[in-house]
Amino acid sequence: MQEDFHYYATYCAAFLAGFSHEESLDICYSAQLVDLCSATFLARIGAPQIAATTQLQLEMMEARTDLLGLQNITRIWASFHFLPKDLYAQKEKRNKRYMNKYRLICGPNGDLVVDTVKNAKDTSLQHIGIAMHVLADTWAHMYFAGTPSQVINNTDRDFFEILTENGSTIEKRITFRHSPSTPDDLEKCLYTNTLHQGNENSVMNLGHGRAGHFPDYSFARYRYYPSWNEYRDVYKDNPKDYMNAFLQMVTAMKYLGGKIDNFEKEVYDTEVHEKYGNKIMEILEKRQLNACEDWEKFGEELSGEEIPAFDLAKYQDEYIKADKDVKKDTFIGRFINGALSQKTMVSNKIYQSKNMLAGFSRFEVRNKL
Amino acid sequence: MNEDIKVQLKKYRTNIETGGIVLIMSGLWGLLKFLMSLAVGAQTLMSMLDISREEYDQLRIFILVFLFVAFGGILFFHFIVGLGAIRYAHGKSSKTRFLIWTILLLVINFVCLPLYFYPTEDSVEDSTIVSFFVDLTLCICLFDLNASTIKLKKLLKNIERSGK
Repeated sequence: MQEDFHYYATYCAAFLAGFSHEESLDICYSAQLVDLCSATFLARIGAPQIAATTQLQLEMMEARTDLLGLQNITRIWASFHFLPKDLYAQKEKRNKRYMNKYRLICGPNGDLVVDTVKNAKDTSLQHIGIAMHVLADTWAHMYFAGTPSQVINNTDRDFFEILTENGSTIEKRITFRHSPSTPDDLEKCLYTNTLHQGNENSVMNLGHGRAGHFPDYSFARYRYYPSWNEYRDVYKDNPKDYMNAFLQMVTAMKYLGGKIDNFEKEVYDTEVHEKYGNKIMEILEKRQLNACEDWEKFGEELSGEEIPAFDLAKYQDEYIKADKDVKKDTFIGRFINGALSQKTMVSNKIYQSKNMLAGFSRFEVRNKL
Repeated sequence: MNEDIKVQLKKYRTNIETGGIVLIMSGLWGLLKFLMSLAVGAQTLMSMLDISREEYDQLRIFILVFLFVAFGGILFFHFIVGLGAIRYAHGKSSKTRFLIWTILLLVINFVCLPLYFYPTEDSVEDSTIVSFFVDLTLCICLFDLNASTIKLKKLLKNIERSGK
């Protein structure tokens, strides 16, 4: 997902879950920060780089793809952007090496999502924001894995967008090209993706790189053949999935805010759906590269307050100028604690499932207030 | 359409497309191998053709034109046959004329594989081993391409018959 959902939609969901305007801003800021908190950013402010929640393109270009490098990549991407759905999935006639990667395929309503949300209970707003980012991404990044793997993440030329024209449904073949500086062209179904690399562990085969940014568009409905699905296609309905993501975030934040006692899989807030479902679906289905404006307007209608634009530099000075012993109490300090907790929790679960792709993990970092 | 049939169609088309791509690349490989043997190998054109320096100087233009046309022809052949397979795989053509050539290429390559085990005085071990594995890969891909094309044709016929 992109800023429109991680920042503005998360704000809306937080507000609808009962958080105040200021609390919702802290939550949505943290949710969006997950996509920007790279090792470079942390190094610049003197923060521990182990708390990185993403890797920039330039960092990916330099990233090692030996065993340790791959483990580092997997720890970040599987923990924050491609949360595995089922670490104990079974598939016939496949060796351990394949299954380790297959079991990292992301999907919603897995056990790890429940663990992620519950791990954020009684912590900080920043940790809640991180959990919401992870939860939302399980819907957008379904069917892709947060580890470089051609046999899992590759796509082929049979990638079709499903459109409605003059009342009838048509399929249009999507053309992918590697041109990062050129914006995606919705009219011509022309989108940017990563270069094809025959190497199994190439970073070009990480996550949904082979489908470019396309899975992150809320309007997209598409059909394609994932490498792992043995010549079977999958149909992805982003408007419906993003709606579920939004409603599930509301439920999760109601739990985290103490309004409900438990958080379970496949529970979506019906109250919000009845009241705002049509409005939200209108935003999700609108064919545009960026829905920030629409979500911002909706959020401001809900709260009656102004939602400031996301500013990466907002809390940097606070962190840099704070003394060493109080850094953990700054905004970024609390974000770092939440990130470490999430990362170690997921890495530990992957390790416990006898999968070494995220490396060796002895314990979790508990981030409790 | 039955899910299993869809899967089979996709599988065979993918195999044919892959075979077509490999065929085109094998044409390029043949040219590359020849150029590399001249550039960094122990052989020269004169030693390959077993002619003297004077004869070479007299026939140089003819030899170069011949080589250009010959390799151009080989590359073109591989490209056309490979492209034919790819177009068939993509459903842009229903003609399977490429099958004759791919079967022929498979037979020729397969029959010539044992020759790698009888190296000549001039052959270099490292490049011989590499060439053997490349040609073996080509044989496997061509076999896959041919088998998939035949199976796909049968499947499409069955679909047409059951559709009627």
